[in-house]
Amino acid sequence: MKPQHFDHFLFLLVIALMGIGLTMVYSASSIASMTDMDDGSFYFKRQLVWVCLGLLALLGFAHLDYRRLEPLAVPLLVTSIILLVVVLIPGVAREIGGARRWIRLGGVGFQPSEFAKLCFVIYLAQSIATRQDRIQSLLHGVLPDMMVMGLIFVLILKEPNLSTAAIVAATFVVLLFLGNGSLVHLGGLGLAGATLVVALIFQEPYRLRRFLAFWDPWGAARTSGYHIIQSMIAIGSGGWWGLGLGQSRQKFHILPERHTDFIFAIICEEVGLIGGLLVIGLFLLVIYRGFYIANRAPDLFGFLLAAGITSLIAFQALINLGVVLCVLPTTGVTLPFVSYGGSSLLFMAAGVGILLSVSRYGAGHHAFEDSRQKPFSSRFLAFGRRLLARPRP
Amino acid sequence: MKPASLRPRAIRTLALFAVMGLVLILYMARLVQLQVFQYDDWARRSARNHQSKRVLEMKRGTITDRNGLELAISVETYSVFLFTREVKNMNETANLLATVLPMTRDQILQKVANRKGYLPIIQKLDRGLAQKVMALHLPGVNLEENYRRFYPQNSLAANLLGFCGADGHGLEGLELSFDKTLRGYAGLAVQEDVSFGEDGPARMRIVQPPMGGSNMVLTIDSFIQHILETELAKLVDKFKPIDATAIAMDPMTGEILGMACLPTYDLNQFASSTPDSHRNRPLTDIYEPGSCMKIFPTAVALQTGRVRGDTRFYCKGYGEMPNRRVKCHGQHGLVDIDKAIAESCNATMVQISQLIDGQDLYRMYKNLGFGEPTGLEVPAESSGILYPPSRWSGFSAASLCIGQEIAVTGLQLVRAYSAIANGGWLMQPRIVKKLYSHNSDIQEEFGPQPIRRVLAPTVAHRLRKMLAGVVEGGTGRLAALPEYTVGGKTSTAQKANPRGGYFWEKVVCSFIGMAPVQEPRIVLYVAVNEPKGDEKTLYGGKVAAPAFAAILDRVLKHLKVPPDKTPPPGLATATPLLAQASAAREVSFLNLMSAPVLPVAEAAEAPRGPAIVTAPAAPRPTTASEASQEPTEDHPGVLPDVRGLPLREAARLLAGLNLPVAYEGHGLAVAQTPAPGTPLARCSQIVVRFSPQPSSP
Repeated sequence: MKPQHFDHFLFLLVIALMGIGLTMVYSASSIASMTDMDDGSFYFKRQLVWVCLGLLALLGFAHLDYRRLEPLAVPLLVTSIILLVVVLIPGVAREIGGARRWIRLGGVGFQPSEFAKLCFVIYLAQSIATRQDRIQSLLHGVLPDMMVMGLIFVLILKEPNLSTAAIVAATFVVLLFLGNGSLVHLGGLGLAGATLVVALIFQEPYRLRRFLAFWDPWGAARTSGYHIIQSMIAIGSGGWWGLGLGQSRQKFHILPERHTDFIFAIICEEVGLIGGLLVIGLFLLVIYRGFYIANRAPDLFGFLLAAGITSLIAFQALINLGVVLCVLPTTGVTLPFVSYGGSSLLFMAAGVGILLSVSRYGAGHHAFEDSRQKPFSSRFLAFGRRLLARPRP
Repeated sequence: MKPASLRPRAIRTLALFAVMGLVLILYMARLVQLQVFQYDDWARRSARNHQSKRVLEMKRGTITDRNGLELAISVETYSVFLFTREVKNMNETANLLATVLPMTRDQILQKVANRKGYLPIIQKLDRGLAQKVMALHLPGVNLEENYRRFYPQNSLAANLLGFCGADGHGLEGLELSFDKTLRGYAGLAVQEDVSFGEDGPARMRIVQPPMGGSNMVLTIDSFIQHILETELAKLVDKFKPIDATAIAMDPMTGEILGMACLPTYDLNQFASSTPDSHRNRPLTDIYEPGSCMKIFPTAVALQTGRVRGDTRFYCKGYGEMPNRRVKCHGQHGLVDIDKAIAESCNATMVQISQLIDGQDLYRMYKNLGFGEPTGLEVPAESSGILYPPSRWSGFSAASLCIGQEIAVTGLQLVRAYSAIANGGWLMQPRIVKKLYSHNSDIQEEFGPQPIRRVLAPTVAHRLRKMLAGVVEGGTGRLAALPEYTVGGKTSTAQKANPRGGYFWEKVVCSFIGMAPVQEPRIVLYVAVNEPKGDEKTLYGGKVAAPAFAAILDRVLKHLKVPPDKTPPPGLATATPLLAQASAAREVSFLNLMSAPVLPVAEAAEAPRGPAIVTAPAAPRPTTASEASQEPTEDHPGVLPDVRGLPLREAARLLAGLNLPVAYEGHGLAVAQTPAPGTPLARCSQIVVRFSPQPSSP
C-alpha cells in the first residue's frame, strides 16, 4: 500500500502548541533571562533552536517507515538503560536540586529518562505485538515486560524522579490494556502500582511535604505550599481575558519554574480563561487524534506504538496541568511541546514524528489531498442530499 | 477494509480516551472555577504580591524663635537597604559597601544572613556617605531618605518645645500640640515590582504626594530664654528647690518671650531623662499663689469705690474675723492702701475682703482668667482651682484676698499682671508668632488678641503705682534696678498640708513684676518651689526678688529699653516725651493692635505731640473723609480735632479711642473738651458740643 501523506490535523495541532510554547517561554522567561543572563531572550533563543531541531526530528521520523523501528526496539532500550545507569554514576550528571537527571554533552543538557520513555514505548509495542498470543498469560506475557519496566522504573526512581517513573509504569499498564492484556492482571498491576506510589511518597520526606501541602497549601504558604499558591494566584488573577501577553505579574521572581513546569500558569495569567481553555482543548484534540491514528494503524505494532506515544503525551499533559491547576501534588513534569526544555521537546517531537509515520500507513484517509477520500464537508453535503432525496411515505 | 481484529482494541482505546478526556474537561471546569468564580480573590492576592505601599516621608517643619534662630530642625538621614532579588553577587556587593559604609563585610553579610527580601543594612547615614553609596551603582542597593529631629540649642526651652519620637511624631510640648501642623501629610506611593525598564528597578506610582509640614516661628526670644534659664540655674544652685520657673511676657501683645523651668533636660537626649523633667511647669503645675494675689482684691475695692486712695486701715498684727484671726508678718499700725500692699499686710487684706462684695471678687478673679486654662497651645495645661461663691465658707473671701483657697499656674499670674501692665486688658497669651508652609506660599501671622477689659485704665495706673511702691520701699526692695523703675509684688506662699492647714517650712517664693512702671515692656515672673536654707530668709523678697532683678536688668537691656530712672544726659529731653508717649500708648491701646510692637525709639523721635498742644491746627473746611483720616494719622496719641464735623463723622473719629464720649446738641461740632491735641493719657472723658448749622459761623 502506498503510504499517504501524514495526518495534517495532528501536525497542525502540535505546531500550534509549539508556537504557543515558544511565545510563552519568551514571555515567562524574559525576567529570569534578564537577571540571570543579561539577555531577555536567552531562553527564547535556546527554545527556538530546540523547536527547530524538534521539527526536524518530527519530519524525519514522519517520513520514516515506523516499521523499521521494530528491529531497533531492543537495541534502543539497551542504550537507554545504559544511559540511565550512566546518569547515576557520581560525577557524570549535573546535580540540580538534589537530583541527578541530566547528562551534559557539549554544553547541551540531556535527560536520559526522556529518551528512555520513548524507547520503552517502542520496545513495549514491539514486545506486546510479537507476544500477542501469550499476552493473557502472566508468566510469559506480562512478566518479561514487567521486569524491563521494573528496571527502568527503579533506575529513574534512583535519580530520583518519581513522576517520570510513574509515567513509565502507567504507560506499561495502558499498553498492556490496549494490547489485549488480561483485565485481572491489569487490575492487580494498577493496585500494586498505586500502593507503590503511595509508599514511595511516604518514604521520602520532601514528597510527603509536597503531598501534604497539596491538601492544605495555606498551612505551608511560605514553604512547600508556596508553589501551589503562587500558581493559583497566577491562574486566578488572569480572569476571563488575562492580563495581556507579556503582562504577567507572577513571572517576576514570584512563581518558580515559570517557563518550564509552570508555564501553563503564566499562559492562564496572560491570556486568561480563553488561553487556558485553548491549550487544554488542543491537548484534548492531540490525544483524540493520537488514538484515532492508533486505531487506524495497519498492524498491532503500529497501533501500540501510536497509542503508547499518545498515552505518553497524555500522561505528561494530564500530570502537568493537574499540578499547575493544583489538582495533583507538585511534581516536576513538563508540559509537552509548550514548556521550555531541550530533550523533552526533542523526544516528544520525535514521538509525534513516529505517530505521524503511523498515520501514513493507516487505514483511515487522513490526507486532504487524497483523491480517494472526499473531504468531510462533501460527505456532510451528501448526507443532506440523501435526506432530501428520501421519498415521502 | 477494517480488519475485524481491530474491533476490541477500538473499544479499549475509546475507554482510555474517554477517561483522559473526562480528566481534561474537569481541568477546564477547574480553570473556570479559578479564573471566573474566584477571580477577585486571586487578583487581590496577586496585587499584594507585586504591589507594596510605601509611605513617602515628609520633612517636619522647623521651629524657630522670633529672631529666626532654629530651635528644632529636621535633618535628612539615609538608610541603606538590600533588595536581595536584584543583588547579583552578595559577597561582592558586601565588599564594595564595606569600602564606603562604617561596617565590615562580615557585618553586612550578617545583616543579610541568608534572608530574602528588602533588608535594612544601616540607618542614619549623612548625605555625604549616602552619595558615596549611590556612586557605587550597585544593583539591589537602595537608599531611602528619612528625617531625624535635631535640636540645635539642646536644652534651650526644652520643656516648652518638647520632642519627637523615633517615628517622627511629637511626644511632648509644642512638638506634640502642633504635631499635625509641623508634620504635614505623608505621601503614599504604590510600588510595583514588575518592571526592569530604564526607570529603575521598580515602578512607583505616587497615590498621594507628600505635603511638607509647616514651619513655626515662636514668640520666644532665645536670648531672653537663655537669660531666664541661666539665672534660674544660679537660683537653683543657691537654694536647691524642687523646681524653679520663670516666665517673661510682653504685656502689650500677650507674646511669651521666654518660659523656663528647672529641672530641664537635653532634647537631643530625651531618652536618658526622667519624665518628671519633661513637664512644662509654668503651665502644668498649680499652687496657692499667696501675697501676689493681694493686688487684685485691691483693684476690686478701688474699681467699685469701696476704698479710696486715702482710705486708712489699722493693722494690729492680725486680721480679725468672726472666730478667727489671720496672722500678719508684723504690726503695721495705721496704713494706707499703698503701704498695705508694699508691706503685704494681711490684716488690711482681711479688712478689704470685708469691704468688698464676694461676687465682685469672684468676678474679678474669673475675668482675670483664674480657674480656666489660658488657652496657650501647649499640652497638659492646668486650669487651676477657683471655687464659685456658692461653695465658699465664711473665711473664703479673706483667704482669696491673701491668695489662698485658689490655685493658679504661673502663666495665669503673668497674664493677670499683664492686664495691670497694659492698662486693663486681659490678653491671650501667645507662643506662636507665625506659621508658614515649607515654600512660604502660605503663611499665617498671629497678632495680639485682647480678650476683655478687666481693669479701668485709671485703676491699672494706680495699681502700677502700688507695685512700684513695693519695690521702692516695701517687701520687694531687692528687685529694684538702678536704671529702671520696677513694679512688682513678692509672694511667700506656704504650701498646703494635705492633712489640713499649711506647712510653715515649705514655701513657694515668687516675685512677679513689670518694668518700666510707666510703660511696662515686660512682665516677669520668677518662682522657686521649696527653697532650702535659713527659714528667716526664705521669703519671696529675699529669694526670688534678686533673681528677678538680675533677669529683668539683662532683659531690658537686651530689648534696648531706654533707662527711665536716672537718665543719661543724652536722653534727658527725650524722657518726658517718652513718658507721654507711653501714657498715650497705654490708653489708646486698641489702636496699637495693628502694630504689635511699638518701638520706643520711634515714639521718642516723634516730638509732634507737644507741638500740636501749643499750636492746634485750625479747623479747615475740608471734606468729611479727609478730616476723618488726617488727625489720627498725623498725631497718634493725641485727641483729634472734630470741630466742624457732623455728629456721625465725629463719632467715627472718636470711637477708636476707647474713651467715654458725651455728645451734646445737634448739628456740627462747635466745641470739644479737652482741647484737640491733648494727649490721650490725660483724657478721661470727651465732651463734644454740637450746634445747628445756621447758627455756626
